[in-house]
Amino acid sequence: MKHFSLMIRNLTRRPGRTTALILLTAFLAISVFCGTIVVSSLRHGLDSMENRLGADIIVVPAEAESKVSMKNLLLQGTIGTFYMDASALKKVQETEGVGRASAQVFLSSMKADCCSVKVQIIGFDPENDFVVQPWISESLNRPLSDMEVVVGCRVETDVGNNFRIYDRSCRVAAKLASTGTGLDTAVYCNMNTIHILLQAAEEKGISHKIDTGNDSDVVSAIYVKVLPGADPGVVNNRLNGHIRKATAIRTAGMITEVADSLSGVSRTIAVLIIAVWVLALIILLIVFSMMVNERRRELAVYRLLGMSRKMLSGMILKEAALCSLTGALCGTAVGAVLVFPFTTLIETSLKLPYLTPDGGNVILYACIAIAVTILAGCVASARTASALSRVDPGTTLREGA
Amino acid sequence: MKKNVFCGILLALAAVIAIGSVTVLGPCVHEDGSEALCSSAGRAVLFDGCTLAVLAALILFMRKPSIRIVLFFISLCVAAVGIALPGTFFPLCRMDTMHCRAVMKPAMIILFASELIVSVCGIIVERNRIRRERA
Amino acid sequence: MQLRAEGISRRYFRKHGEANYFEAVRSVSLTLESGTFTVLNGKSGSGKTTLLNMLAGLLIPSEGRVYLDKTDLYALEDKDLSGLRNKRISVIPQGRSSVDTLSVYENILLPGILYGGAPQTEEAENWMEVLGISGLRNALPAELSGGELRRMAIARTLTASPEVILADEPTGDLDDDNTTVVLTAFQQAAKAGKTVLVVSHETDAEAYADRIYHMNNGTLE
Repeated sequence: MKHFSLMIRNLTRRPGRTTALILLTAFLAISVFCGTIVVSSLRHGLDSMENRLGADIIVVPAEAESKVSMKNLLLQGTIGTFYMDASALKKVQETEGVGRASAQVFLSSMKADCCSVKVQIIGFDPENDFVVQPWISESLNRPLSDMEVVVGCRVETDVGNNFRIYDRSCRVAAKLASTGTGLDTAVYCNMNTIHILLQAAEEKGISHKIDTGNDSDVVSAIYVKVLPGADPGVVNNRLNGHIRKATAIRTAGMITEVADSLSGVSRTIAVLIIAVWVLALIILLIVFSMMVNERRRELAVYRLLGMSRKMLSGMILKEAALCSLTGALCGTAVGAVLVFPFTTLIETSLKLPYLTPDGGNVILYACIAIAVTILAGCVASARTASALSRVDPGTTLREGA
Repeated sequence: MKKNVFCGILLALAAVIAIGSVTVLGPCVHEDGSEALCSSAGRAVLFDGCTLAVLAALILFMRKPSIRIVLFFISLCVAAVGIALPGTFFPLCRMDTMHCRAVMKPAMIILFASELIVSVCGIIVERNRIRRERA
Repeated sequence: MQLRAEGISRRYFRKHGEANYFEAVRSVSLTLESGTFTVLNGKSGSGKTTLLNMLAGLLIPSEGRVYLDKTDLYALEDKDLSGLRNKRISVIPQGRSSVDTLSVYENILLPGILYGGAPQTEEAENWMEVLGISGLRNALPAELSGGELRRMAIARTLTASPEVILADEPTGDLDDDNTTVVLTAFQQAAKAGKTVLVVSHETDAEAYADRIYHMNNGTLE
């Protein structure tokens, strides 16, 4: 039997105490790991949203904002169907300071068509698009043909499958990588396809016509990239003055709004983690202090048999570290089971962009959670280790304590 | 008392599965009352959960370790099937954000996997009991 | 080998009473030679255990010094003194001295395990047999009687085979037969060149002793 076996026996033959220590440290590890993963996923999601948005300004029909919040449309995939005259695109392109402008047409599917739920269908013009196309290029390296669609990563279908929208069959050409935003639940197609689908919707009695035009002349949103050096605020004001019955919205404002919500959530999570830690550390200190009396006689025997103070405190610290390691591993595993399968639930509950970090970062966060938990266990046991190593064996054993 | 710990856990988990499948951990519910694509998966999960509950109750009343092992083994198989019910054997709605995919599927996989682990533990404990009795 | 105490005293502070301290041991000088079986007797509270603890390197004397050959025990670092207590001096204390999470056999082998030496399994088996506890090999201390625990502690010391054996009331919990077995074992150890000191308030051990000291009110007579 070696020192390590001695520690294992000390722990396994005191199952109540050991289980309590493991549970407490597991609780600490769960809070650190889950908290870190959620906060980093939110930050990752915000970064992804900023990268994917690609536009400085979005021009939408004046009544659009009363129908749906643009932030919700982008973040949660809230369905938004609103239209304005396609001539607005030309006016936007002619506005001073506008570098690139690209239109999109939104359509909502019927619930039963594909997904037991409505999905946002977005038509874009591949020739002048700078918002969706770069992102689609990552999954599809050829132009999107007519009656072909690209689906967001959260739409459960496979490439090559047929997808029925308003009784028209569309072939899935590609599936996009996750963005952590509402764009993951959308379906993308070119302008020809969207107009066919608008026509099909019309046949089903769902009208998209606006007062002055027909279907082929409508757009839902125009994404604007300002010229280098131009002030997006000034261009935004110009667009608002120049285009009738439309509103120009700066994306920076939306991102700031999301970032503010995100920092609020992060703060709440940080406070919760700190509260859990303070509570668990206090309980750990109490458990270890109770151990001082319980183990006084046992440790006096070790001293009597020749264990030095350093060896004794080392043994207590190693026991605490072993318990903490077990607790940390169990806690991290439980945390992973809680946080990863329910990513979608967390995302929809927080209503913020949420993108889980890659495997390497997840492993890094798990290692940090394990290390921090072991450290906490050792710190909490340090005082006990020091108190117990000063036990006077002669007196203690005589007292029969 | 100790020998009933695992079938107690099995019964508790089966109850969570059965009750969960008709409440918060159940399939999607359409506002208009129409049946969602995942409804059949929900019913299958409910049936599987009830089967596990019955098996756990049977184990609780059985004294003979060999019979208990057989029942634990059946529970293990039923739990393994349960893992594959939502999404593999029965279809779910085709959007990741839907309740059946966001809540029911992961929750049921975790619960059925726990049932599977508990059944394995139960088999090991009962096998050790048989060995001890023989010794 | 020689264990020598030179004018050692030990005072304990008291909150109540005439003086604010109590002198348990008063300027005691004592030499224990190898190959001798010494018995120290005296009434309860005469300072026997305090003297034994000071000789064992467990209790720092208020005055005086303790030497093992030429080594001043209390001038040593804790690490060296602990090592010395593990290898050269073994104490059988008055109370329970078992590690409750280890079996009887593991408790007996414990001194060897602490410093990573090879377990003295043969010696352990032998002393368990001699002391009549071989049937309790895998039992936990909580399952043992006072007498069995005491025999376990004695077996541990005899298995470790140190140069100095200091036993505090080793036969206190034992019946006559076991008392004879234990004292005979100590006598044989002394004959084999060990230094043995038995502290007792009973007279059983005196018949086996080479030297007998009497302690009264903290002083040696």
